[in-house]
Amino acid sequence: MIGLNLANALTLSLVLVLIGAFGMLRRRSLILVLLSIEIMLNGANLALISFNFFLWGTSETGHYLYMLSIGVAAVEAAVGLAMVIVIFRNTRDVTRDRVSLLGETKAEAEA
Amino acid sequence: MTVPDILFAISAVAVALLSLCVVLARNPVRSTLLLILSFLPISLVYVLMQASFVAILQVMVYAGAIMMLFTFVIMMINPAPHAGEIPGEEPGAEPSRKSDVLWFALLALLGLVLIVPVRYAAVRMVAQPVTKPDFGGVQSMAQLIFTHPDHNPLTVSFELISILILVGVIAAVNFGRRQAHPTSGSATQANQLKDGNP
Amino acid sequence: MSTPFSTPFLSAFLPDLALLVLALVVLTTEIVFRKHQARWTARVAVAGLAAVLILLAALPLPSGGVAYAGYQVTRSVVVWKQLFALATLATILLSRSYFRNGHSLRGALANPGAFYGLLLFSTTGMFALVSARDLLTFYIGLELATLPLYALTALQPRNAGSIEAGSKYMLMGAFASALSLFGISFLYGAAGSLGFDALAKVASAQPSLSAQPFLLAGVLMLLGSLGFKLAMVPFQMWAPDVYEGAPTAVTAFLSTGSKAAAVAATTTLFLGPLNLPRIDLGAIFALAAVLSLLAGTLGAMRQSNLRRFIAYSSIAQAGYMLMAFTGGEGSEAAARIALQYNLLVYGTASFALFFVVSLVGRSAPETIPSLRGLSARSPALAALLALSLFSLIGIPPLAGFLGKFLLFAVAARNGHYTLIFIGALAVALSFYYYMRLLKEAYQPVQTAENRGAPASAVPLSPIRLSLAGKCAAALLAILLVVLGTCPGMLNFIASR
Repeated sequence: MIGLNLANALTLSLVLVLIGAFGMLRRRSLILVLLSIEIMLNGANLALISFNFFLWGTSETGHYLYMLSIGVAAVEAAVGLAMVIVIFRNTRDVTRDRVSLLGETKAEAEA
Repeated sequence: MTVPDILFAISAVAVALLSLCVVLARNPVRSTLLLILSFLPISLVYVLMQASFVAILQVMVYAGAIMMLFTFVIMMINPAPHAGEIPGEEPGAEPSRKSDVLWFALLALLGLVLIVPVRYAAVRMVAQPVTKPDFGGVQSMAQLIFTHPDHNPLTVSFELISILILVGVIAAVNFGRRQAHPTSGSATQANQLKDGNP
Repeated sequence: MSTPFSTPFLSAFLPDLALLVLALVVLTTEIVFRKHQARWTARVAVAGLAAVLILLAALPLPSGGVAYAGYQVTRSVVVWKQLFALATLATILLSRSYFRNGHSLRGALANPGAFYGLLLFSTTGMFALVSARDLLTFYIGLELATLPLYALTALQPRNAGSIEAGSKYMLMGAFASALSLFGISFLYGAAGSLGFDALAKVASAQPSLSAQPFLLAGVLMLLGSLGFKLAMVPFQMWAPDVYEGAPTAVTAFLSTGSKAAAVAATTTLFLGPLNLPRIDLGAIFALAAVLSLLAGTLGAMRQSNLRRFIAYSSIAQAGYMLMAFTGGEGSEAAARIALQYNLLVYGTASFALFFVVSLVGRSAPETIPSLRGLSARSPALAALLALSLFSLIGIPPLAGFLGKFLLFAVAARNGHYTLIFIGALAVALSFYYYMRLLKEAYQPVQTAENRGAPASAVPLSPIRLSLAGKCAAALLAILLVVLGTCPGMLNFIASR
């Protein structure tokens, strides 16, 4: 039941993705949202590696996609953190929705 | 129950708990460090799945490089007197715990709906894992990636990721770049940032 | 598989390579030209893109297409690429004046090299996306197409809304990208390979999809992540904010080029290897189409901010385009042609609209009341606005009508008559909200003043167009009429 098998590995990866999604939806600091996305990516990567090992062990395609995905994660983190720094420079606050200039109410007020 | 089974069970529980702590922790520095910590059991799981090269990458590149980026940025924008606090993450700023619990229950329900059929299919599909010799090793990975371009299905995606990284560099550099003639507002803000840290 | 350096290979891949080289050259133009950087960078980018378009149209292609290493070029791929290149070209032409001070109340753009370079890198990503023959190339192409757009959205340094929109877009996009990676891993688990051929084999071989939860989970997650890029309900929340905050030219590109890329990506997957014969994905697409039409229509009705209005209108347009995926088996070619034609028409009408918005936005906030008195300030612009809006509604004989007709026809093949009825209803309602713009534009200024409206807020000096502006306006107007009245254009697209 708790052994090393595909069902358990996929369960773990789903749990990670859902924890990441929870953080993405509920945390308001931009940095923590980015961290939550990293957790989601971890879950996805775990699914890749376990599929590769348990079902398709004749070629390392999943491992290769893992390498690509950490490249993508690095680029996304770099761009996201650069934006966080610019936002912090402008407002000294990295909370989303706190200093929001965009939105329906604003649009109506401008009219 | 063999040794890999027990190791997997321990590391799976550790990964899930550590990730949960990352999401729930108040202090962002602690969150980042917990996330780095959670990479260790994950890479142990990768080792158990014979993905040795991937396990090395997880620790060296993911934890060692990407997560350090997060740590640097948090340290950089951390002017508050309480160590490790980011403005906007004070206790009052968080949405209420009650709606947190509601969302958590909702996602857990979604997870249950997803996990049950996936587990069902996984149990039905899997026999014993059959892997080729040197599966997941460095030499095997190198052969996969660096075969002759005439019959290498991965060439294009490998080149594209290099372009993607270039784009990331351009974007990040442009955000970091100060404007030639900053408006007075942003100039004062920049000065504040410079000497705002007591 | 042809070897990488043979002639058919080179002639098929040359446009993509040329575009990549162009993006790198544009990045460095800034260094070469010390004066008039923005102007020279734009010139280089326009000339290069024209060359890419010529290459795409002129280079011969074997009838079966060319394929190499997860990358393939077929005729329909070339049509998609022409659409992307055209959208990028129009965006560059539109954005040129935004580098001058005082062209917009939102402040001038800076860093022309990075701006045009990122735009071209995004186009490169779109090229890779439609050429993908395995999920690796598809995934990286999708990332490469959207990641520069996050940066472009945030590239207006003097405007705080811009960086906020950029960060919102980035977070949404990163979430979608994680979702698509998860979906791809499940598809890999189902097929054992990331190639489209293997996927298609597995998708068509399975007796039923309930026996394949991996495949279904992967398909749904990928659909969700593409839904973000399409701004399809329930993943449309980001669109109004991002459209509002981004620089005008980037908003134009988001609503045309990026939307075209998202539609093309959906086509590549769901009219390609994931066209599951055993399960009616059409029902999911139909539901998404109805919800998008509803959200877009309701949102557009109560907007006074032009950009948010355009965002909601583009959500509704995405709803129409989703109808093309409900046709079921055997409708792939018709659906593809309907979508390509529709995107061409929608893109032309959108750029005409943005052209008007950019000129009005010079001296007034980009709101619907700012359009008041446009017919007096510039009759030609008001006429262009009318043409564009009529085309977006779909009034015959303008191009929008034929486009919507083709989409409805695809949906009709599978008997989705309720969907078509709702689509027709949405067209009727869109008449109401698009006409609000036109009503403002043709409202005489005097009556507005008599009613005590704050006329002082709206400067009513006549708008003078430069020669280039006049040419662009005339070209857009001619295209809008010709595309609709000349069915030959359609044949031209189909025969490519």
